[in-house]
Amino acid sequence: MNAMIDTYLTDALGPLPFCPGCGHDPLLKALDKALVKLQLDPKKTVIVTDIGCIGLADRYFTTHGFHGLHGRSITYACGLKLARPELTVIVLKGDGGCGIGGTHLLNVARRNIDITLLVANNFNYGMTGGQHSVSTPFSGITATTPMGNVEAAMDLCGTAVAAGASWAYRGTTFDKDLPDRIEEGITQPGFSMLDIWEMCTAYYMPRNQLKKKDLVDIMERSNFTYGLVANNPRPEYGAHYRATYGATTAPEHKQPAIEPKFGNNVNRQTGIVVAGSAGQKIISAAGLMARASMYSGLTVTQKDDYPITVMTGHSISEIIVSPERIDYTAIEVPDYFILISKDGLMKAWSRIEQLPSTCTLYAEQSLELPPTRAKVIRLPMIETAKKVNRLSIGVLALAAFVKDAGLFASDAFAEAITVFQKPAIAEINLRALEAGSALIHTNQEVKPCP
Amino acid sequence: MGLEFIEGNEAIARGAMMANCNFFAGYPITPSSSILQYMLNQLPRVGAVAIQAEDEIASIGMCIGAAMAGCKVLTATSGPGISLYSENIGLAVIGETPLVIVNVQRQGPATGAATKGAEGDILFTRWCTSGGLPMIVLSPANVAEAYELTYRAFNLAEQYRVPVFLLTNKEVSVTRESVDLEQVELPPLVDRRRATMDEQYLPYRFEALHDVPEFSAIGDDRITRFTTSSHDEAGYLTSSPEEIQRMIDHYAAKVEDAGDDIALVKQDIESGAEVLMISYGITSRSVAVAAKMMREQNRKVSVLTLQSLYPVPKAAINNALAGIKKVVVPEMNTGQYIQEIERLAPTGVEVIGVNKMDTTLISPNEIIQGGGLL
Amino acid sequence: MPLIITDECINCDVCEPECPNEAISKGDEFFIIDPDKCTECVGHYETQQCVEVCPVDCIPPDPDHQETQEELLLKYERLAKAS
Repeated sequence: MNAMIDTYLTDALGPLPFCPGCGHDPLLKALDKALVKLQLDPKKTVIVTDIGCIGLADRYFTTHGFHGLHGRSITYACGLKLARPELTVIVLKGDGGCGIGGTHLLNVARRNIDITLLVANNFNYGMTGGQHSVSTPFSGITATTPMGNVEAAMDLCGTAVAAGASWAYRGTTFDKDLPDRIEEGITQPGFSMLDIWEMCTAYYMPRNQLKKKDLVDIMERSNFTYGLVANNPRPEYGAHYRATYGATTAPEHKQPAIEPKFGNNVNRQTGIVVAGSAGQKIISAAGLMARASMYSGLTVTQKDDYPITVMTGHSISEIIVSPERIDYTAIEVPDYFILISKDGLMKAWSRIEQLPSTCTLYAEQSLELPPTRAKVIRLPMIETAKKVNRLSIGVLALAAFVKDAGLFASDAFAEAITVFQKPAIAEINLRALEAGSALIHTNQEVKPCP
Repeated sequence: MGLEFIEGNEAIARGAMMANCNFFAGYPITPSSSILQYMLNQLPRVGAVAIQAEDEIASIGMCIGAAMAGCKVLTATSGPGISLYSENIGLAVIGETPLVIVNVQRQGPATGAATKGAEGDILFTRWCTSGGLPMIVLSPANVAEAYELTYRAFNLAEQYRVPVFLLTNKEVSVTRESVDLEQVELPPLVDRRRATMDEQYLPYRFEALHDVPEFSAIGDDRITRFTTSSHDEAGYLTSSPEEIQRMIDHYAAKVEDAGDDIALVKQDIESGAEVLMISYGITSRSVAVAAKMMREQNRKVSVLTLQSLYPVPKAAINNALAGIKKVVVPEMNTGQYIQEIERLAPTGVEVIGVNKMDTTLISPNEIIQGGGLL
Repeated sequence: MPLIITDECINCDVCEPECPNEAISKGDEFFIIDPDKCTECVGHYETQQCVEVCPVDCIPPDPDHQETQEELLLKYERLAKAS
C-alpha cells in the first residue's frame, strides 16, 4: 500500500442515489474524508449497513460491504469484529434501525465491542414513506403522526451511554468538523457512536418546515447534548476476552475413560427409578451408579426429572441398564424403585401405587407409602445418612440397593466414586457406600468379569 | 476418549469441536443451554470466541457475521428460538452462509413444557423462513449419532454454503448414555472452497445452477460484498426478473440436486414384507423394538430410519416402499413428516400415523397398537 | 431584482443546473447567485426555476439589488447578445 488513497467512494454505480438535499450525502462524504485521513486499508475495513435509505450506502464504498436485516446491523458487526479483530468495522444505521435494534445498541455499548456506529438520524423512516421513529421530536408531523407526535424522542447517545457506551458524540451534517469527529470515533479503541442529525428532504423536512438551525434548536429543547456526550474509556470486549480467556491454563474438563473390569448379573433391560428431593444429590448418585454399571460391562442410560427451581421439590432419576444396546429409554414398569424422601414420594405416588409384584421398592422407613404390590424393603436411609453426611443419602440408598439386588458389585460402585469424584467428596461417598451396603445382610453373588 | 457417560448435548458440542468449529453465539434456553455452556468453556481454549448474546436474534446475527469473516459457526436453541432466528435464516440462504443450527425440540407450542421432549418442529424447521427455499435438516437418534451428525452438518454447511439444521429432541440431548465416541466413524473434514481466481472476485459467481460460489472472507484480500437484498453475482442489488429467478433456482438447486449426497438413511428391508415403518430421531428406537416384537411373532416388517429429513430422501423412501401395503409413521407430534410420506406413497398404500404429543415417548406397544401391527 | 440564496441553503445542488443563465455556483459555505447574471428567469421562463426546485425555500428576492421587470428584460437581452 504505497499510493495515497484519495477517496473511498466509487462512482462505478454513478453518483450517490439520495434525494436532493438528503443528509445521507454529506454524511457519507464526511465519512469518506475521515477514511482518507486515516488511510485505512480497504481490505481490512467493512461497512455494515442497516435497512433504509442509508442501506444503499455500502455499495458506494471501496471497502468490504455487508448489508443485513433491519435493526440487526450491530449484530453482524459484532460477529465480524469478534471473528476478525483486525477489521475496522463501521456501521451505518438510521434512527429507524435504532428502534427495532434497540437491544443491540444497548448491548454493544455495554460490552464495549470496538465498532463505530454512525446513526443517520433524520427523525423518520424515509425509505418506507416517512413514518415516525424513536427519534421523531415531540409534536413532529410524519406519515404516522399526522396530528403531531405524542411520543418523546429517544436520546440515542444518552441511552447508549447509560448502557455503558465509552464514547458518544452528537452532531449534524452541517458541522464542518464532522470528518474529524468521525475519525475520532473510528480510532477509539472501544464502542463509539455518532448520532448525526440530518435533513430528510423528501418527508420530515417539508412536513415540518424544518430549517437547518432547527436541528440544534430541537437538541436544546430536548436537553440533548450537542457535541461530545461521553468519553469514558474502558477495556474493549474482544481484547479483554482474548487476554482473560485465551490465557487460561485451566485443565480441560475431560472425563476419564471407563474400562469394564467387573462382572454383572443383568440378562435383560432393567429399569431403576430413584426418587428423592432436590438438593440430595440424587442425579449425581444415580450417575455414579450408572458408571458403576459401565465398569461392570453394561450399557446404561439416565434421564432426570426435577422442577425448574432446582433446589426445591422432587428429584427423580431413571437409570436403565442392559447387556445390549438400549433402544426404548422410558421405564414403564420399574424393576427397582428406590424411594428416599417425601418429595419423591409425592411426585411418584401413583406410580408407586401401580408397581407390580415383580418390582422391589427400597423405601425410607419413615415414609407412609400408598398400598402397592411391590416387594417393600424398609431402610433407615435418613438415620444412617445423618451418621455419614446428610448429602450422601443418595449414594447410601443406592449402595443398599446395589448390595441387595446384586446386579453388579459394590466394588464397581466404589470404583466409580473414586475415579469420578474429588477426593474429599469421594471419601464421604465411600463411607456412605459402606454404610448403605451394611444395611443389607444377604449376600448376592455377582458373576465375575469374563 | 474411550467409554464415557455423556448426554446428547455434550456429544453435539464435541462433534462441532471435531469439525473445527471456531465461533459460537447463543442464548440460554432449555433444553439446549448445556451446548452454550460447553462451547463457552471449550472455544477459548483453542483461541476462538464463544459468546452469550443478548437474545437469539443477536446470536444468529453474530454467527452470520463471523461466518462471512471465515469462521465455522455453531448456534443452538429450541423451538421458541428458531422462531426468533427465522428472518436471519433467510439471510443465510440469500447470502450463502455456512451455518450449523441445533434445534433441541421441546414440548410446544410457545413456552410449552421446557423440560419435556417433543418433535413438533419438523415442518417448521424445514419451512422456517420467508421465501420457502429448501433446507438441510438432520435428525440423530442417540448420543453417538448426535456427535456424528453434528460433524456431518458442518461438512454439509461448508460444502453447500447453506444453513444446516441438526434437529434433535430433549430425549436425545438431555439423556446420558454410555458411549465410546472413538468408535464413531467420521468422514473427512470438508472446508468451504476458497476463491482462487485472480481477476476481480464475484462473491456469488456460479456456472451450473447447483455450483457453489467460491468463498472469500471479509477481511481477506479480495473486496467482497454480502447483502440481504435480491442480488446478482457481484452482490449488487438487482431487480432483473431473469437474474432474480436464476438466483432462486440456484439456492434451490444447491440443495435439491445434492439430495442423493445428503441423504442419510438406515434401511432394514425384509424381503416379502408388506409393512414398512418409517421414523426418525428418538422414536426410531421405539420402532426398532416394535420391529423386534413383530419378528418374534413371525411377522415380516421393513424399517426405514431417516437421519436426514430434508431434502426428503426420495430414492431411499421409494425403494423401501416397493411391495409395501401399509406404512406406519410414528411421530411425537400431530403428524408432520407423514405428509412427505403420503406424497410419495403410491395410491392404495395405507399410510398410518401413530401420534402423541403429551411429553412422553411413543412406546413400542403404542406403535404396534396404533399401526395395527399384531 | 435578482434572487439571493440565504444561509438556509443545505447545499443540495439542485438549483445550479436549472439556471438558464448559469448564474448559480458553489460558494464557500453554500451556493451563491451572481446578481449580474440573474434575470429571475425573465426572458426564459414564466416562473423562477431555482425557486421551484429548492427544497428549503431559501431563494428570496435580493433586497440589495432591486430591479424592475423592464430592467430584468434588458439584462436578459444583453446577456443573450453577449453569449
